[in-house]
Amino acid sequence: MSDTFITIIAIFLAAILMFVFPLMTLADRNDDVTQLTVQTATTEFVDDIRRTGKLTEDKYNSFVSSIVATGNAYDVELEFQILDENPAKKDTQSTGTTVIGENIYYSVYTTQIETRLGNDHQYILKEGDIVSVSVKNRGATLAQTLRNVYYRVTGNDTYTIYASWAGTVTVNGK
Amino acid sequence: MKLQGLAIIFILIILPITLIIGEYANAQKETIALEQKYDSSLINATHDALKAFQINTFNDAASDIADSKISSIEASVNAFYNSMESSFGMQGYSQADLQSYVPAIVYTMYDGYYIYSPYTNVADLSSGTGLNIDLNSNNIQYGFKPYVYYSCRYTMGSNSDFVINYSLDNHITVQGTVNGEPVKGTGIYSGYLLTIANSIDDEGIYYDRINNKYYYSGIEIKAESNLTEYLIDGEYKYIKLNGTKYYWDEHEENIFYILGRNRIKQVEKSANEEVYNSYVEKIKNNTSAISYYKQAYEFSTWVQENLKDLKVSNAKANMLDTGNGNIFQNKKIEYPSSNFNLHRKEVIRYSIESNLSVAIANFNNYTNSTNFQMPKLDEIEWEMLQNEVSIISFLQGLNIGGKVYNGYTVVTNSKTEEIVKEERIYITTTDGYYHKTNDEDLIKEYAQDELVLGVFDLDFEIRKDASTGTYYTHKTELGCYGSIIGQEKVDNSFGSMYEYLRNLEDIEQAKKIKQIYYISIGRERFGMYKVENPSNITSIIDKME
Repeated sequence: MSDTFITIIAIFLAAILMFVFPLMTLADRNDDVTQLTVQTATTEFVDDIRRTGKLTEDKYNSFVSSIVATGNAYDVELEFQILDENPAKKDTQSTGTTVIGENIYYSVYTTQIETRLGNDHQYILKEGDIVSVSVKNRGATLAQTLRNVYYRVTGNDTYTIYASWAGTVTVNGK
Repeated sequence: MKLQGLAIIFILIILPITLIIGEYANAQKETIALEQKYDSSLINATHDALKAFQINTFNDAASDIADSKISSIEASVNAFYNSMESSFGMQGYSQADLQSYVPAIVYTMYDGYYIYSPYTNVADLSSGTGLNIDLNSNNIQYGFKPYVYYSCRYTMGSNSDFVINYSLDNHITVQGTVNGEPVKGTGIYSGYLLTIANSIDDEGIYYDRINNKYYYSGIEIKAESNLTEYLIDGEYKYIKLNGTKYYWDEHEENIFYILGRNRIKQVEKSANEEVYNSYVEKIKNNTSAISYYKQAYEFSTWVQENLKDLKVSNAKANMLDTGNGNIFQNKKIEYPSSNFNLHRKEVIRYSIESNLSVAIANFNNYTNSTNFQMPKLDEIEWEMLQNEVSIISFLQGLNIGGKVYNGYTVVTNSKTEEIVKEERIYITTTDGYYHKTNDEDLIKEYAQDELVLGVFDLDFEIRKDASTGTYYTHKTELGCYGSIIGQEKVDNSFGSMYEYLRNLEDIEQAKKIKQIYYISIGRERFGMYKVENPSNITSIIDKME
């Protein structure tokens, strides 16, 4: 009786070792590579916008297709902080001031940017504007699914792949 | 064997393999993360260098003069290394260490460029026995190689052998012998190249000999009067000549300009009434734009008469033949796609590429470790270099885990006085805002008499008055939200401003915009500093229309 019991445990252990364990390791490696790819793609995308001062519809679509090619679905969040120097100029024009007034930034988010890309096919920025992009994976990756069998991390926004990059635009786009 | 035995053997085989693969993947991740960090440190350091250069030249009235510019560039290189040191200091690199990984820094300017790189041939002046030159000293110095112009030599037939110096816009200088004679008698002639029109409404400059008037693309070029801008203590009328603005102090009856902290009097009425009156007359009736078009018309006519058959094959350099036909073909010369502009860009590219490759290859003689090579710049970056004042920086040889780092950055300076690019003329309106010339609202939302004046974009920037330490702007208008702050109303469907204006509907606002634009760009370009201008301002005034 105990003999069969041990055999069953042994088979169970063997199954885990031979199938599940390598699968989990491979899935983790896969996630690592995906993280690398997405991070590189995001960095290149942001640096390209910083260098040229504009975001074209083509560039955006090729960025999205390059991250989706890794096999997962992603949530891309774009934020442009547009520099407004008018308050600073108004301040300096009032009376002789030894302090430059403050510039303000107003933000434009993903949906607004995508609408503009749909209408004008490009979004032009100027020197001083700030671009930030963050990418999170939406569905569960293979590794996440396997891990969820054993334990579940609570919370709505669980993600494994996360990449973000930001920077200031260095050129007036045209 | 028992199952447990097999399982243990399995673990013994698989576990080390998994661990090693995991370590390898980790190492790759770290290499890529480090490479990205180095990339962005390089961009930030180059951008800091650019900002330092911008701030120094912006606030310095003498910034066009070569000495002053060299010291601004040296300060900018220091800013670059300081910024690099603070990003890389964590990795243990000091400024001296970093210098051996930066093979060259290139500063491209309006008509040429500087390369900052090491050299070993030094001249020792301190030994008292005169100049002692050592061509192979072990003392590696870092400094600027001599200024290289964007130039190209041409030969046509047997009696024309000349050099043309190009710049980032349409200004060229021709030096040498053409048709057996030195150019214009003196051997050198320079000016702006524009299309010559055959009738008033054609594109280009048209000269009406009978009435002595100049037209550009159908718009008459008129004189302006009483251009004003603000200084710390009030509004002054001024005229800009050879890069300096001369203000008229009506109370004290003198003409002055600003240099550093001081207002230097150029001329006083009590001292020299005739010269003073000539300045005042030009301020009241500013014919800079007319003079610009007149000089451009004379120069372009000379080029069409003497150099119209010049082809790329006449150039004594191994350049890409961009085409079909004559370089100075009189058709839409101002457009970016003209034969002239394509050839100009090719000359700039060839010059920078060849000198930079040599500088970087020579760098291998000064360091022992890596094999430095000129990276291949992409087309977008070449487009930036051929049209804007920029900085190119290289960083090669740093060890990042799995490989050796090899990176470069190109950053452009959009706030420079050296060049008046077509898109940098803004139009002010009566409601206190300024707009880009290709702002759709100027046609749709404003009436003809609400469009006021064309202004160079730097006049809207916040400046610091060196003597009192307070901040001010030359003009009080604010940027409009449609085309300056945000860019929704900008019409970018044409390749250049000339093309955009040519394609506007024939309505009153469009005519007014064209008039404002053509006159302003003429006025600003005439007022720029040019090496070939005489240093005596009075002779410039006497030559104006």
